[in-house]
Amino acid sequence: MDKKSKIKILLIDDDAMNCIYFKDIFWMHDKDNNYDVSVLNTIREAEKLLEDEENKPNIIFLDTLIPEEKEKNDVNSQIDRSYNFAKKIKKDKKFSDIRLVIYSSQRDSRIKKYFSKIKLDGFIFKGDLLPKEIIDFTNKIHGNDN
Amino acid sequence: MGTIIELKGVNLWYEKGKPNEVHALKNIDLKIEHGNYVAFFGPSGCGKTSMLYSISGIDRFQEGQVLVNGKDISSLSNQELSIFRQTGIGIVFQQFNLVPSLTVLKNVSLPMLFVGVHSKKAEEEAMRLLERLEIAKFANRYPYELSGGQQQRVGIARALANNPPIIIADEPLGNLDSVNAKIVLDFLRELNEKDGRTIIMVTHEAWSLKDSKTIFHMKDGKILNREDIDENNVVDSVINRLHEQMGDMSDDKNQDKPNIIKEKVSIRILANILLKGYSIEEVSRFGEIVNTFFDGQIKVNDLKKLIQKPFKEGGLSLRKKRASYITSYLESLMTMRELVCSTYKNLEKDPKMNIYKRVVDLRYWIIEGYRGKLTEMQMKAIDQVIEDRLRNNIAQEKVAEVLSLNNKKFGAGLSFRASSIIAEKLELLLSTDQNKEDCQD
Repeated sequence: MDKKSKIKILLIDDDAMNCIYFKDIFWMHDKDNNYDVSVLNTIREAEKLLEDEENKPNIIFLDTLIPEEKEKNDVNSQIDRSYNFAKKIKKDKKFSDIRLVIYSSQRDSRIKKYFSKIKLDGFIFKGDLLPKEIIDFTNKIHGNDN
Repeated sequence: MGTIIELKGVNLWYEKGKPNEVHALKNIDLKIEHGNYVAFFGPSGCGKTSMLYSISGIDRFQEGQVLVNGKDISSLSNQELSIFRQTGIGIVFQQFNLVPSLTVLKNVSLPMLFVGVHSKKAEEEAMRLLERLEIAKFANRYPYELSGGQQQRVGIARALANNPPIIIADEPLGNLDSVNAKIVLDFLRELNEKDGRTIIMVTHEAWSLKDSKTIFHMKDGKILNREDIDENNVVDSVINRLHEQMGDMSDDKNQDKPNIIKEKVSIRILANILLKGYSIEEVSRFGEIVNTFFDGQIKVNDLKKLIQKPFKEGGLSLRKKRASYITSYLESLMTMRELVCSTYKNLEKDPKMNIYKRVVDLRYWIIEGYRGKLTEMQMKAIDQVIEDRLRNNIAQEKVAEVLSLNNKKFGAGLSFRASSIIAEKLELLLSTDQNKEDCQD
């Protein structure tokens, strides 16, 4: 599959190891080579990218704890920032075709409950899925699982 | 089948620019397809393991590219390479490489924990893998409580953690008996045929090539040729490889291995006593080291250090205790051979001289470790055989036979096994005309 016709995934996460791991999963385990993965480390960078509709990904995986320069970075503020970004994506019509998955580093059911107020396409706790299961999950939410 | 691994112009040197520089891989170009079962086959030191280490990013090659699913791994950072090895490839080692302080279950969970999989999930998956390998009942045991075959199955289960599409097996049968070797080979075939994984194996044992679909023949750091096997030529191929392997070991084709021709001491006998169950490569390495020691190029302490070094660095990867035992054995062997040497010199001057005391010293060394009880008569019979052999009154091949004769027929009445061991140890002391030549120097 050439780069243009690939399904674009954007991971927004500041954890360097997880970013490498996530990219490796799609590099090594996506045998059909369906996906093109890019990574950004802050929500601000993601907002900037999305200003141009050309850059719009098909799927976003969003962490719940992402520090931001010159902002309050206590846990609640970080969660709220992710929440507000997710809400914006799901409410804004120009992003209506983007699938949004919360990819939470915080293993807390209260977080899941908090984000359930938004109509998400998926919620996974990091570490709950093995590489192949992440591919299967992605295929499913994108409707590629046939 | 698309390409999963491609090597373009790869050159790898160890100790580049130093006097001990080794050019391990020379201009390697090759492709490995998705779902193939590939073997790198060739004699010791031909670059097989360097090839695996380059493909898996363990060794950094200085020139060329290794493309995995189209991505050049030479541009990856150490952290990226490390995560790639955990997610993309599973490595099965000859020495198993299990963590001794962790249970079997924890050993298999480890690669998953490393990439952030939650411990509960990792242990569930590890248990599933142990069940697949039919070793779930050992989950809470430690590696040292398992046999070699069981440990290797744990090694395979661990390689399958994170479900990698590529399995790399570095001499996976080297430490196994034939029954366990077959189990491992059958399992590698299953991983290839049933799961569709790409298998890349390094081996010097021709019989282990039976399931390979492609064989890369290697020599002196180069790929000699690529052989694609199908059902019609698999038998011929294995037979050819066996001939090739035997040819490598025979003297007449060994001009490039002078160490074997100029053997200072019988490596075959020594390996039989000290290195049972080790691979041909390891025995060959052992031979090189022992010859260097008997040649006086290295001292006892260097010998001990050298055999503890990793195989990759020219050693034998032996543990300290084993290394100490082997070193003191070789040291005592050297002392005894000096005694034999001086006896030869004395006998040359005076063929009738009394050598009884020397014979008794040699006998003590030879029967050390013998667990049975020897009678006075048996010891006398052994002494007689030693003396006859020193005086060249009896041929080497007759020694074991005479020792196993009963007392009435002037033998020692020993079992066939004990006679054979004593005969071999005696030959170790007297062995090879080289010893006599050395004595004359």
